[in-house]
Order: sequence, then structure tokens, then C-alpha cells
Amino acid sequence: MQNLKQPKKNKIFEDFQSESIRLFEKYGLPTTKLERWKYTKLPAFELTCSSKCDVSDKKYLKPISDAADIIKKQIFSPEKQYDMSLWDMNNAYFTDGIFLDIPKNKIIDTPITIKATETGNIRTIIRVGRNSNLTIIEKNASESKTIKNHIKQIILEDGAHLTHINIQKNDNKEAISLSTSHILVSSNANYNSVTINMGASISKTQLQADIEGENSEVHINAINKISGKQHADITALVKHNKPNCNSSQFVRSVLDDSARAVYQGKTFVGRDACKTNAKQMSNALIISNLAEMDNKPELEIYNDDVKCSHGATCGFLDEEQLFYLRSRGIAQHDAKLILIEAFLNEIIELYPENIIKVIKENMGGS
Amino acid sequence: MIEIKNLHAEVEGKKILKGVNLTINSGEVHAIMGPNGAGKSTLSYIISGREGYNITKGDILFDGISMLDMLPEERAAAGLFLAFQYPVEIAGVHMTNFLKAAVNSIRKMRKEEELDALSFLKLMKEKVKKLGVKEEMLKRPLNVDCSGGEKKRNEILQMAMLEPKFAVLDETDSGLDIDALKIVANGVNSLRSPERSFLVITHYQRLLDYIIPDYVHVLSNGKIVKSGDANLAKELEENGYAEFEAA
Amino acid sequence: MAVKKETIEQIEKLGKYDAGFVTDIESDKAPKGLNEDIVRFISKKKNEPEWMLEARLKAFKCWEKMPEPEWANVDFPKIDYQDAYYYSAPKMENPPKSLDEVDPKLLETYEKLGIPLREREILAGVAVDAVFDSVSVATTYKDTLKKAGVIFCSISEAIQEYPELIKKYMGSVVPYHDNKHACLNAAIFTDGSFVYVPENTKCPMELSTYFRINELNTGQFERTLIIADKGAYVSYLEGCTAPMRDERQLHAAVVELIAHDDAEIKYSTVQNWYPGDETGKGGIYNFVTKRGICEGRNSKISWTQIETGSAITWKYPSCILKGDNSSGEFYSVAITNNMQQADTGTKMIHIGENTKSRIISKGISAGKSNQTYRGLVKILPGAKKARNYTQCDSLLIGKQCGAHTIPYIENRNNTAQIEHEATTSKISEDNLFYCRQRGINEEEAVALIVNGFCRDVMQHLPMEFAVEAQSLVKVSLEGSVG
Repeated sequence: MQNLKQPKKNKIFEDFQSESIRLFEKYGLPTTKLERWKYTKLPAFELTCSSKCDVSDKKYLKPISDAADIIKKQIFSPEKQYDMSLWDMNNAYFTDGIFLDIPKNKIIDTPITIKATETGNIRTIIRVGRNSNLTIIEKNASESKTIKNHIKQIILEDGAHLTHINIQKNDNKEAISLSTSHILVSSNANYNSVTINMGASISKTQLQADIEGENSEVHINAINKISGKQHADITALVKHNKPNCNSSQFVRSVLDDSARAVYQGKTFVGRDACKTNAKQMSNALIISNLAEMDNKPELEIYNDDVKCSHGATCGFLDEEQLFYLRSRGIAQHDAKLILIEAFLNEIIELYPENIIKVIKENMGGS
Repeated sequence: MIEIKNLHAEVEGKKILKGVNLTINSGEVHAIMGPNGAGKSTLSYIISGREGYNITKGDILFDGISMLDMLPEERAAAGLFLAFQYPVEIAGVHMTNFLKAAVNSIRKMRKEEELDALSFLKLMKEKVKKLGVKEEMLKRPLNVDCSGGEKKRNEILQMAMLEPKFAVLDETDSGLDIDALKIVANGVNSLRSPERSFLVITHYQRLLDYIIPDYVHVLSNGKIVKSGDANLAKELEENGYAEFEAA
Repeated sequence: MAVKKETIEQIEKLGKYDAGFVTDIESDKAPKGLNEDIVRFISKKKNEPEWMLEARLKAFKCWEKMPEPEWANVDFPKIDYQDAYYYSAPKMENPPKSLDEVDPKLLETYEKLGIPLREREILAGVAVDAVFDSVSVATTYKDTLKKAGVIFCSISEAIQEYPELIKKYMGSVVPYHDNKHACLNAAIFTDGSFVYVPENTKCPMELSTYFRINELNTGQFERTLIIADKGAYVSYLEGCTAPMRDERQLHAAVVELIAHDDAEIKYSTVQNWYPGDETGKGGIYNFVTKRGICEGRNSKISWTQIETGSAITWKYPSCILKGDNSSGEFYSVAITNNMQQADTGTKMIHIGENTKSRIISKGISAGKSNQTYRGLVKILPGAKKARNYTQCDSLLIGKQCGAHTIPYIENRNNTAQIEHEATTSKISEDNLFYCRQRGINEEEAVALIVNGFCRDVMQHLPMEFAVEAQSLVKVSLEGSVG
């Protein structure tokens, strides 16, 4: 990839960026030797340009420089220093970005749409103020061969609710989509996200939610619906640091041809996080005999007053259900589609009607 | 045998018992009735030594000795038995092994010789036969996949095996149909003796048709507000607890 | 108050590791340290043929270059390989021909551990190979087994007597370059057990090996090789103990199992190496590579382990399911207390069609211990209709311990069915109170509930050892409540 734009240095980030360039040049892109990248191999590429999202409602936008404190704060927990390389690359080369700052006590009924379409390092900061409630629909799409390294920093203040829909629909089958989110959750807050991976040759979605307040909830859901030689990776970490919080991670994958999906989920429960309730579940339907699913649902627990569970299943469509539908006169092909849709609906239907509509429109076909 | 003196207790700062006085002599059967939330189950847990209750005043004497500083297992060894309202399920632990551990643990604390496997099994078979419990029950993990009636019958079997001096039956009738209720009541009646006393805690009068008490007390708002003989239960059945709740 | 008294008693009991005594016996040792000469020394002591020495030297060269595995969730200072002895044997003029010639002190040691070696006193139907530091001191019931055609002897003897079998199978499942610890073992293994069960033979009794580390600063590096030929069946149990010492000691064993068509191998372990004291001083580093291959159709390998000892456990008994319709099982109970660390689990590699695997793992963490279940289920493209079921449950006792579950599930066949379930919980207050109301004290109640929690695994142990394992659960958890 050649440079589309030369980075225009933003003065506020000068020192910070030169240090990031040094680190990135030292460590380079992540490799499969890293546990978080065990199942996803990136081709060599260079990405020194910056790009920016479009936001449907500009009312709450602020200049990115106002978010300097948030950006400069190192919060993502790296396995090793070089696991930070997507951050370092982004820190080094982003020149502008989105800072969506929702003040307190705002109930925003109409979802705000954020679109990312161009190659580049993309930076998005979202802060939801105390007791505000918001839905964001993020669309990551393009028809050309794009490479996106999107870093998102999300802060939920006390009592804030954010429903975050991520639709990754890069139609170009050589596109690379890298999305890394860090979510900071305060007390009585609720972060509820669903990621839908359908496009790109390689997509890697990393999410880390740090729960730093009591009585909060984090739900990280995902759907991988891929075929051909596509590769989709969901790597999620929920860190419970405070008591009385709930979290869930539900992932459903439908894999055709020689597609490969990865789910690496982890629930961390710290010493103080008593009365934690955490669930992880990954279910995969493998349609073709060349597809592959790799699951790693992980628990790391340091508190004895918790209820944590994880599960994973992997298999073909239920032969009996298939037979049942066919015996009612539905052709095999249609019967399969019905069962696949039903399988994915179990995640989609966790959301309100208007969101379901948006998701289904984008998923098309099924 | 058992004396509850001016007992005051709190849970998480909330006053539940506000001065309960009750004396039960050997061989007597007392019933405590009362509306929901009167403190009936709290009383049974405090007698048996469950943690989480703060006793602010008063005492419980068992054969003249205060029980308040005793661990639950020490109270059991002294001869106290609690039939739980909701018996717990413990996966993987078979009823037979559980009972053997309990019987021998109590014998050990009493400095009696522990039973070997053979004499234990013999004793258990006797009791099982007498109470009409299905032998198949003994092979199951403790209370797992048991109906409400089966669980309560297990409680009575455990009582028969442990031969307590004083047994507290906490809402033993809850969740039982009339046939199961009769079987459980018959079990209890067969264990009645001049050396053994009972405290039957219940919301409804119907259990007392089968286990006839010597005395009936009404517990309301953390205190015993009325005492009488078996007829009091029948009055309550007709009039309800309204007059006490108002008071 | 009563609670206080109980706590004091528990603290006193903490030092009570029943197998922690030392046998005062003269021994024959190799010089301290590790180099090529030590490898030659061991081989010479064993009077080994040239090919064996060559294999050892090749492994040693590889070991020198190999990095330590660092991925496990355990934390310990770097091992100084030069600060230990690699060969130690009780002094004997000549190898004893019968038990009457074995030093009575050794017989006494095993008796104290509850493993009498004289056949008339022995548990009926269990043959024992006793390994003391670096050598096998006695193997019982050899003749009875021989009549059935079963070979059960020390690995040193097998190298002399059955070189063809050793050449064919040793290193065929765990190659010398597999990992650093296995590689060290291949270079300097000192003894271990060898079992061969011929075609269509059901081994007439339980086989068992009892490992004992006695000497100070000595590592134990035993090697076990079990072959079940077509249609054969064998059940094998190993037990391990060591004296209480302040120094850490290394135990790096390799176990290889080979099951041919229709054969079945059942391998059980009761691991009770000295875990170190409550501050984490001393204890055994238990770095073990165990792997079995279901080579033939319809073959079956089953691992059952009760892991209660060792300061650090690093162990993943695995199955390579190569033959069609073959099946692998892993049943594990791991208990860690005080400062113990364990990273254990299994690997099930499905290669053949219709292969099945089942994993039941129960982890109990208490004190300040940390425990990790690490498992891999891998379905290769050819493993049509493969099935896996995994259940791994963790129980935490107390506020300072940790439990981790890291399952890797890799599926490359669309007809495979994989199910994985896991839970983490604590002993419920309700259950504990119920037991105590029935007169069972807190410590007994915890042991009872934990034994119930482990039942699905315990029931796979041979009868003779199930009772021992249950009492071990109780001993291991001493001092964890209150």
C-alpha cells in the first residue's frame, strides 16, 4: 500500500507520535507468535495515511484535539509490548478523527450513524455522559481494496447506556479490516455491542471492556457470516474489576467454502469483583468441509464469589431439523437457509425492533 | 430441655426477632405458627447456628447450657436436628455416604465408637424399612433430582438416623400434597418419644391435623403473641392471622 | 472461640505431609551437574548397548539448544541444571534376584508408604514396579504375568532383554525433540517401567509403578512405555511421593502409550509429590510429557489423574486418535492449596474417522494457589464425524486463589461435533451449613462436597485406589477453610 496522504502532524500529539513511530518501527505488525494473534496471520503492508469517518449527526462532534487526554492515556492491556503495534501505528499516523462527546442526561432516540469507507488509520473517540442513552450504528464498508486500522476509545460515565452496532461489510474480497476498541465502563452503565462480520479478506475485531464501576453490564455479541477464503477473528476481553456486574459474550459463526473464523474470548475477574456473573458462548455452523472454526473461550478468575461459564459448540446443521423441514415440503437449499437464519436470529433478536431492521437490511440475502 | 430467653436478633441491621420466649420440655411437641415474614425461619436458623444473624440480646439454653457460642456441628452433636424447609442438593455425594459421615462425626464428637460400614448399613436398612423410604433413594446423590416429597422424606430419614433430642421442623409441609404430607407426618409421629421434643414451624394448620401438638404459639412481628393448645391452630385456620398482624 | 482453636489446629496440621520422611540409605551417585559425560555415565551404569547411548547423546545435543517452554501460567525461578544430581541409586552389590536380596530399609520405605512389595502382603491382583530415585528396585508378580505373556519390567531391563521393542516404540509417540523437558528425559532417563501386552490378551492384574524420590538435590527422570498389541487390555496405575525438603527438585518424566487395533489402555495417576510448605518453600517441579497414540482401529486410551502434590505441575496427558473409531478419554482432578501452581489439561488430536474424545476436568483451587486448565481439541480435515465432549469445572475455596480455563478448540471438519462446557463456582454456604447441621465439621464437609464435585472423575479410578484418592482430597485441602 502506498501513502495516499502524507501525515500532517497535529502539534498536540507531536511528542506522543514520535514515540509511537519509534515503537512501531521497532516491533512492526503483530505476528502469530502473540497469543492474541495465534490464529490470524496478517500479510505485510504499510499504512501511514490517516482517514476519518462520516457522522450522521454532527451536533455532538468536537475537534479531536479536545480528546488529547483520552488519546494519550495508555489503557489497553497488552500481552506484550509489541501487541500494541496496531495502537502504535494508529497513534503514529492518524491526523484527524472523530470525537463524539455526548453531554449528560441526553436520551437520543435516533441512532447516530458513523461510516468508515477509506483506507487509513482511523481514530474514533466516543464519550457518553452521565445517564445518557444512545445507539450508534457503525458501518465499515467499501468497494475497493481498502486497509483500515480503526482504533476506538469509548468511555461510559455513570449510568450511561450505549448500544453499539458494528457492521463490517467491505465488499472487496481483498480488503483488510482491523478494528480495536477499548471501552471504559463506570457504575450502573451498560455497553451492549454487536459486531457483524460479512466482508473483507481478513477482519480482526478486538474489544476490551474494563468495568471500573459497580452494577454495570457489558454485552459483546458477534456474528461471522463468511465464505470463500475469508477470515474473521473476534478477540474479546472483559475485565471485571468491581462487584455486582454482569457480562456476556455470544458469538455465532456461519462458515462456507474455505472460510475460517476465530473466537478468542476471555473473562477476567479480579480480586474485588465479587458477585460477578459472566457468560461466554460460541456456536458455529460449518457448511462446507473446507471451513475452519477456532475457539478459545478463556476464564481467568481470582474471586470465589462468582458465577462464570463458557461454552462452545461446533458442527453441521442439525440433520433432524433439516429433515423435518424437508418433510414439510421445503426444498433442501431453502431449508438450510431457514435454519441458518434462525441460528443467527438468536443473536440479532437480542436487540430492539428498529435495530433488527437495520441489521437485516445490511445482511441482505438471509 | 430447651429454653429460649428474650431472644433479639437482626439480619443486616434489620430487627427480625424482638424478644422471643419459649420453653419446651422433654417429650413435648410445640408448634409455631404465624404469617409470612414473622421470623419463623429465622428462629430455626438461629437455633441451629447459621452464620449471618446478629443476636443482640437473650440466650438459647439446651439442657441448661447456652448454645450461642457453639458451632452448628457441635449443636448437632448435642442432639439438635433441623429439618430444612428447602433441603439442599449436593451433586456427587450419595445419601448413604453422607449419612454415614454425619452419624460417625456425631458419634466421634460424643466420644462414642464409630460405626463400621456393616453395622451402619444394618441400622440404616432398619430405619428405611420402618419409614417406608425406597431403598433406591439411598443410591442417589443427596436430594438431586428428587421431588419435594422425596426431599422431605429424606429429611425425616436423616432425623431417624441421627436420633436427636430436639428436632425443629421448618415448614416441612411446604410443597407437599396430602399423601406425601401423611407419610412425612407418620414418620415424625413414629419418632415421638418421652425423651424427644419437637418444634414444628408451619404457616398452615393442616400439618397439625397429623402431628398433634401439645402447645401452639403464634409468632408475629418477631414476638410470640399468643399461646394455647391444639385448638388454637383450628381458630387460626378459621380467622387467619389478621388480628395479630394488626397488633 | 471455637473457630480460633480450629484454625490453630489447622495450621499445625499444615506440615503434615504423610510421605515426607527420608530413608537413610547409602547411595551411588553421579557427580553433580549435567554434561555429555553424565549422559555417558548413566548409560554405562546401566550397561546399555551403543545404540541407546547414541540416542541419548543426540537428545542431549538437542536439549542444549532448546528454549524453555514459557507459555504456561506458572511462575518460578530459572532452573539451574548444573546444581543437581542426575543419577542416584541405593547401593547394591549386584542387582537383587529376588525380594530377599533387596535392602530391608527399602522394603520398609515402601511399606511405610502403604506399598508392601512382598507378594503375600500385596494388594490382591496388583503387580508393582517400585522405582527409588533413579532405579527400579523391585517388580512383583513378574512370573505370574509372564505366564500370561505379559512383559512387565523396568525399562533398563527391557533395553537389555527386548531391544527390538524398545527400538521400535521408544520415542515414537513423544519424539526426543518434542519439548525441552521431554528432551532432557530422553538424554538422561534413569529408569521407569515397560509393559507389553501381546495380541488378544487381557492383562490378568492391575499393573502399577510407585515412584519415590529420596535423595537430596536429585532429579527423577523416569520413562514409561506401554504397548497394547491387537485386542489387548491393560490397566496401569502410577503413584508418586517424595520427602519434605526445602530445596526444589525436578521430576521430568515421559510416558508413551501405544494401542493397536481393538486394544485398550487405561492409565491412572495418583500424584502426591511433596508440594512444598505453606510459604512455597521446597516441593517438586513436576514437568511431565504423557502421550498416547490410538494407532489401530477401535482402540482406546483413557487417562485418569488425581493431582494433589508438587509445587509446580506442568502436564498434559494427550491422545492422538489416529485409528478409525478410536477413542480417547481424560478424567482429571487437580487440587492446589497454599502456594502450589498447576497448569494441566490435555490434547485430543482427531485424525481418524469416527474418533471420539471425552474430557472431564475438575479443578479445585484453595489457599494462595493458582490453577490453569489448558486443553486442545483439534479436529483434522480427515476426521469425519469426530466427536468431542469437554466439561471443565473449577471450584474456588477462599479469596486468594485463582482459577483459569484456557481451552483451544480447532475444528477443520464440518461433520465433526464439538461440545464444550465449563463453570467456575464456589462451595455454597447453604450446602456447607446443611452438612454442619447434620454434625459434620467444616473441614469434613468441604472434603465431602469436593469429593462429590470430583465424583465423575473418581469413579474412573481402579477400585483399589478410589478410597485412597478420596482421603487424599481431604489431606490436600487441610487448612483451606476457616
